[in-house]
Amino acid sequence: MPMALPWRTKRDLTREQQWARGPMDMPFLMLTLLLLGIGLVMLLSASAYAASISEKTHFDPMYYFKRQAIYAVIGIVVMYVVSRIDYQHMRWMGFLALGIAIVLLIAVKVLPRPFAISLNGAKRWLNLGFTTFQPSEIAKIAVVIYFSASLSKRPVAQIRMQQMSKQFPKRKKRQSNLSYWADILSWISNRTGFGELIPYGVVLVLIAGLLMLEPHMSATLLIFAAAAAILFAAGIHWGWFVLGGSAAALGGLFFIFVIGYNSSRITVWRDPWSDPLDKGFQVIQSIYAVASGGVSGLGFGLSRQKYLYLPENMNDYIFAIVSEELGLIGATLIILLFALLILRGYWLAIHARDRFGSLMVVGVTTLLAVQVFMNIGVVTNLIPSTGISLPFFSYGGTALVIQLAEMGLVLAVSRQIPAPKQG
Amino acid sequence: MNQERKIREAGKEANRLVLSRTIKLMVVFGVLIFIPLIMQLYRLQVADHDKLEELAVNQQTSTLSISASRGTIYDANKNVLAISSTVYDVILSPKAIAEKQQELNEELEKARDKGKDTSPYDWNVQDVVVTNLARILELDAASLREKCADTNSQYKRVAQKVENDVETEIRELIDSYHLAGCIYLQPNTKRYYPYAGLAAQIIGFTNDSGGAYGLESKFESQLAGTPGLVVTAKNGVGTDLMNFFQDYYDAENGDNIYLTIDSTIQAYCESYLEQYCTRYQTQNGGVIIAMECDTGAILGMAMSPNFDLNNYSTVTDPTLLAKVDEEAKKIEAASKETVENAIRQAEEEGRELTEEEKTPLTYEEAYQQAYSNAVYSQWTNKAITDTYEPGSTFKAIVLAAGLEEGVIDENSTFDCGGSVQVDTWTIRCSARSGHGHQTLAEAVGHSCNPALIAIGQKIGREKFYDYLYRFGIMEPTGIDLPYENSSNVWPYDEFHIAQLATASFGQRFNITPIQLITAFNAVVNGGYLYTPHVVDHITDPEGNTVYTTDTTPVRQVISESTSKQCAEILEGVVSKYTGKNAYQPGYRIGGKTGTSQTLKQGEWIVSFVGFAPADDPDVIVLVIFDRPKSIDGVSSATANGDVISGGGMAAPVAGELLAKILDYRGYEKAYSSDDLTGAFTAMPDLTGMTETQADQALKNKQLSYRVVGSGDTVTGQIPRSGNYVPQNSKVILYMGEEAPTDTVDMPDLRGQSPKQAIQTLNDLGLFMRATGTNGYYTSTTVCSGQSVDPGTKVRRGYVVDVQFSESDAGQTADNGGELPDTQDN
Repeated sequence: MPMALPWRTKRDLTREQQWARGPMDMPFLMLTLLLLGIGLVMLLSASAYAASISEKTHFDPMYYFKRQAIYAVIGIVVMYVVSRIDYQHMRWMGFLALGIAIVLLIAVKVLPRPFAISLNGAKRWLNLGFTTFQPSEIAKIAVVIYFSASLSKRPVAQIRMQQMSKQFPKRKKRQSNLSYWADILSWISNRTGFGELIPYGVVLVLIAGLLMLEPHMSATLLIFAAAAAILFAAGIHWGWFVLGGSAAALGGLFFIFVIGYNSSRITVWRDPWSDPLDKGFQVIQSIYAVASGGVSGLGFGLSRQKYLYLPENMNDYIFAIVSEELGLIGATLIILLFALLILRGYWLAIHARDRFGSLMVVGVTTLLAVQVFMNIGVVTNLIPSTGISLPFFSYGGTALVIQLAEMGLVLAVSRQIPAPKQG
Repeated sequence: MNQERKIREAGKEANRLVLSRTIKLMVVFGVLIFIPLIMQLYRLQVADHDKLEELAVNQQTSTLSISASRGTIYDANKNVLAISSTVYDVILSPKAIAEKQQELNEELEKARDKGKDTSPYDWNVQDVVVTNLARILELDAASLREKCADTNSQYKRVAQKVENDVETEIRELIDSYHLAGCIYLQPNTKRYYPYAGLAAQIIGFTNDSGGAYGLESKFESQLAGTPGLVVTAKNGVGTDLMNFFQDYYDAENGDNIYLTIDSTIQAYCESYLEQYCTRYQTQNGGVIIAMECDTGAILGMAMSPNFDLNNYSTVTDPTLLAKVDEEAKKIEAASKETVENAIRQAEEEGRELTEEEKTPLTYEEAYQQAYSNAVYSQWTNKAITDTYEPGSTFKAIVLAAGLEEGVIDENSTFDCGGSVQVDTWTIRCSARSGHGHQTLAEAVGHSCNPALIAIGQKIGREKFYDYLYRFGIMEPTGIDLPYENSSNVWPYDEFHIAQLATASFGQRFNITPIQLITAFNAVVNGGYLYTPHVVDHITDPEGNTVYTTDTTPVRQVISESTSKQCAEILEGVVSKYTGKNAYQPGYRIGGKTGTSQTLKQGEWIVSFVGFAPADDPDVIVLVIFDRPKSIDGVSSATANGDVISGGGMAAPVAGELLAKILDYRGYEKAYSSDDLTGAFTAMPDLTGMTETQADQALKNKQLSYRVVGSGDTVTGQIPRSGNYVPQNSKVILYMGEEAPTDTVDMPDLRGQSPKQAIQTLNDLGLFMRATGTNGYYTSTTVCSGQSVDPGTKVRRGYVVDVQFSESDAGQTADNGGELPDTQDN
C-alpha cells in the first residue's frame, strides 16, 4: 500500500527510499494484527473481574482493556511508522542503540525511586512519568540491530582476517617474547574464528551482566537466544554452538541437580504441590486453569480461575486463562498463529534484500519465538517459572508498543524485498 | 579488483550460508519448539484433565447442603408420632463484627469532623452482640467474647437447634442493629415426638447422624430422604459469586411411615403396664404386646421402664433410678476393691502406681457409669431382644401340636399323681397331691405338667422339634424392628427325652416375647403363622404408597379345625381354670397363664397370653411382668397381697386390656348364660303397682328387691325405670315415700368379698357389676378395684364396676415343675 507523502514526489526519492516504499508483507501484517486482536479480547476477559472489584480501577471492568487498546492503537501507528523507515539507516544506529541500552540498564540500577521502580525484588522499570518501561526491551532490539549490522559485514571482515593470518607469525627482530606470543595467539584466534567472536562476547557479557544485576533472568535468556540465532545465521562455525550449547546444557544441569535442590524455583517446578500455598501457588493455579479448559474450553469469558485465583492472570499467566476458556483447540490454534507468524518471519529473513535485513529479522523473529515458548512453557509448567510475558496478550502498554515496533522492523525489511521479475 | 571480487564471492557465499542457516532456525523455532508445548497442553487438558479439574472445582466452589425434611411417622389413625421441624443454629462471624466496627469508627470520625450527631455510630458492635446473645441464648458472655476474638473466622457456632421464639428474638436483634452478616441463622432440623414416651422403644430416636434407634434407625434410608445441594462459585478470596454459576440439586424429602400401632391401644398397653409394674414392684419391668390375629400387625407394644423420646438420655422411671443408685454403689465398691488389690500387688512387686491407678472411682463417677447403663437399658425393646422361659404359656403350642398330630383328642384323659418320672429325673406338678384323673381340657386348664409331658412324649422328639420350627420358635420372626434376637433352644442332638419333657411345659429354653405371641397366635387364629410387623405402609412425600407390608401368612402350621379346638380349650382356661382372672363379662376371652422361674429363687417371670373373641380371635395380647417383688424374697406373695403367678398378676391385666381393646374396636358385648352376674337388665316401671305385682315383674327380670316405707303401692324406685342394672341385683322400692334424689359418697370396696361389696353398695342404693371372675366366687375372692374412686359423689342407682380377683389364683395351679437338674437319682 504505497502511500505518497504529500510534500515529496516519487522523483525526489532515492532508490533505497523507493524500495522502502514497496509493499509490506501482508501475511506477516495480518498475522500480527490477528494475534493483537485476539490478545486484546482475551485480556478483556482475563482482567474484567479484577478490574470490576478494584478501587484502583474505579470498578470499571473495561479499565485494563481500554488502556491496552489505546496502547495497541499507538503500537500500530508506531509499527507503521517503523515499517516506513529505510532500515538501511539502522546499520549505523546499532552501535548507538547498544550504547543507549547500556546507559539505561545502568540507570535503572542506580537511579533512585521514583525514577526507577522495583517490583518483587527486581529493579526493571524506568518511570517516564506517563508510563513505565523496561530498558531490557531496548537492550533486546539494540543487541539484534548491532549484531545484525556487524555480522552482515562478516565476509569482508573474514577476508581481512584470513589475509592477516595466512602465515604462522615469524619472530621479528627486536620483538619481545610477549608480543610474539600475542601474535601467535591472534593467529590461532583468527584461524579458528574465535577472534571475531570476542567483540560479540564482550557485548553479551556486559548486557547480560547488567540484566542479571536487576535481576532479569528471562530477558537475559531471550537476548542470548536472539544473539545466538543471529550468530548462527551469520555463518559462525557450528562447532561454537555445539560448544556453547554443551556448556549451557552442562550449566543448566548443574543448576538443576546441584544447586537446584536448594532452589525453590526448581523444586516447585518438579512438584508444585510441595509448596502449594506459597511458591507453588501460582503454578498450581495456572495448571488448574489450563487443565480445566479440557479439549473445548469452558467458553469465552467463562474462566473460573480468573476470579482472583490465578495471580498475574492478565500478565504473565494470561495464556492459562486463554487455555481455560478456549481449551486445547483454542490454545493450539493460537500457538499455530504464533508459529505461522514466526515461520513467516524466517521466510522474510530468507528473502530479505540484504544480509543485514535477514539477520535483523532472524533476531526479531527468534526473540518472538523464544518469548512465546518460554511464556507458554512456564504457564504449563513445562519449564521452571520465570517472569516473561506473552507478546500481544499480556497486559503492558510499553512492552506492546515495543513489540509492535519490532514487528514494524520486520515489515520494513519486507518492503525492500525485490519483487520477482514479471514475465 | 581481485580483492573486490573476493569480497563479492565471499558475500554470495555468506548469503547462501544465511539462507541455509535460517532454514534451520525456521525449523527449530517455527516448528519444533511448539511440539513440547502442545504435548504439555494435551497432558494437562486431556490426560490429567479430570483429576486436575476436580481439584480446581473443589477450590472454586463452596457447597451448601440443604437438608431434606425427614419423613413423618404416623400411627394407624394418622396421628403423628414423630415429625421434623425446622430449627436454627446461631452462627457468629467475628470477621464481619470487626469489619462492622471499623466501618462504624470511620463513620464516627466523619461525623465528628463534620460536627454531626455521632450517636448513631458511637457503639461497640461486639458488646451489643455479646450482651444480647448471652441474654437471649442464656450463654456465658465471656465465652462469647472469646469466640469473637478470632477475627479471621467467619463461622463460629454459638447455639444449636434454637426454636422459633429464640429465632424471632435474634432476627429482631439483627434487624435493629443491622447485624446481618455478623450474626446469622442456619436452618437445621429437629425431631419432635408429640406423644413423648408413647411406643418409645418402637419409634426410636435420631441423633446428629440420623436415625439411631428403633424404626428411626431401621427405616433410616426411607425417612432421611436425599439432601439437596447448592454449589456456588466463589472467588479466590472466598466471596460467593452468586451471578456466576449456581447449581441447585433439590432436596428429596423422606418417606412417611404409617404404623399398625394404634396410639389408643398403645396407650392402654402402656398405662396398664405402668400401673401394674408399680403395683407389683416388678424389678425388671415388663412387656405387653397386642397383636391383630389375622395379620400379625402389632397394635401396641409397651415396655417398662419407658422413657421420653424427646429426652432419650434421661432416666425417669423411678424403679430404674433406684436401681442406678444401687448399681452405682456396687461399682464404687468394686472399684475400691480393685484399687486396694492393685496397691497391695504393687507393694509386693515394689512398683509405683500412677495417680490414676491409685484413685478409686468416686460415687459420682460410679453413678455416671450406672446411669449410662440404665439409659441404654431403657432403650431396649425387650419384646424382641430379651429372651425368657415362656413357661406354661407354651403349653398351648404343645397342645396344638398334639391335636394336629392326632396323638391326642378332646376325649383323651390324663392321670396326674403329682409327679412324673422322666429318664432319671422326677418332675413334679404344681399340685403336689396331683390333679388325679382329668380330661384334656381339664389338664390344660390346670396347667398340669405330667399331662403335658405325656402329650410331648406322644408327639415324639423329632416331630416336636419340627413343630418348634413350624411355629417359628427357631428363628427370628422377621419383625420390622432392629436388633431382633432369636430363641435359645437346644440343638437337635442335645434334645433328648428330658429336654422334650421340660420343653413340653415351656421351661429350660428361652424365646423372645414376640416369638411366643407369634406362635401362640398361630395356635388360635386358624393355624396361620404371620410375620409380626409394625409398619403398615410407606408413602413418598407426595402421598403415593411406595411400600405395603405383606400380610400373607408365612405358613399354615395347624389346621383350622385343630386351631378351633385349641381356642375352645383355651377359652375354658379363662372361664373355668387358672386363667379366670382374665375373665370379662360380655367377651369371650381365651388364654393361658405362665409362671417361669428364673435362676434366682424368689424371682419369677409371670405372663399371660389372652385372645378374644375366642370363637374368631381378633386380638391377642401377651402380658409379662418380670420379677415382681416378693414380700420376703422367697414366697410368692407380695406386699400388696397379690400372688406372684401368671394367673394372679398377668391374667387380670390381660383381661381388662382385651376388654378395652375389644370395646375400642367396636365389639358388642354378648352375654352368655354364664355371664349372669354381669348381664344387665332394664328396670321396669313399677310405679303404682302393688308389692305383689312388683315382685312378679322383678322376678321376670331376675331382680330381687327390698322395700322402704309402708304404703300399699310403689311410689318410687331405684333405679329409675329404663335404667340398666346387673341381673340378680337388689333394687329398692319406695312404698308411700319419694325416692331420694341426692348423691352418696362412693365407699371403698377393696378387700371386701363379693357378698360384702354387694351389701355395702345396696345399702347406699348403688348397684354392682362384677368383673374379673366368672361368677364362681370362692372364699378367697376379694374386690381388687372399682370403677369409681372412693369418696366420689355418685347418684343413687348408679352401677359401679367392681373388679374381683382370686387372692390366691394360680398359686396352686401354676408354679411350673420342679427343675429336672435339681433331682438326680
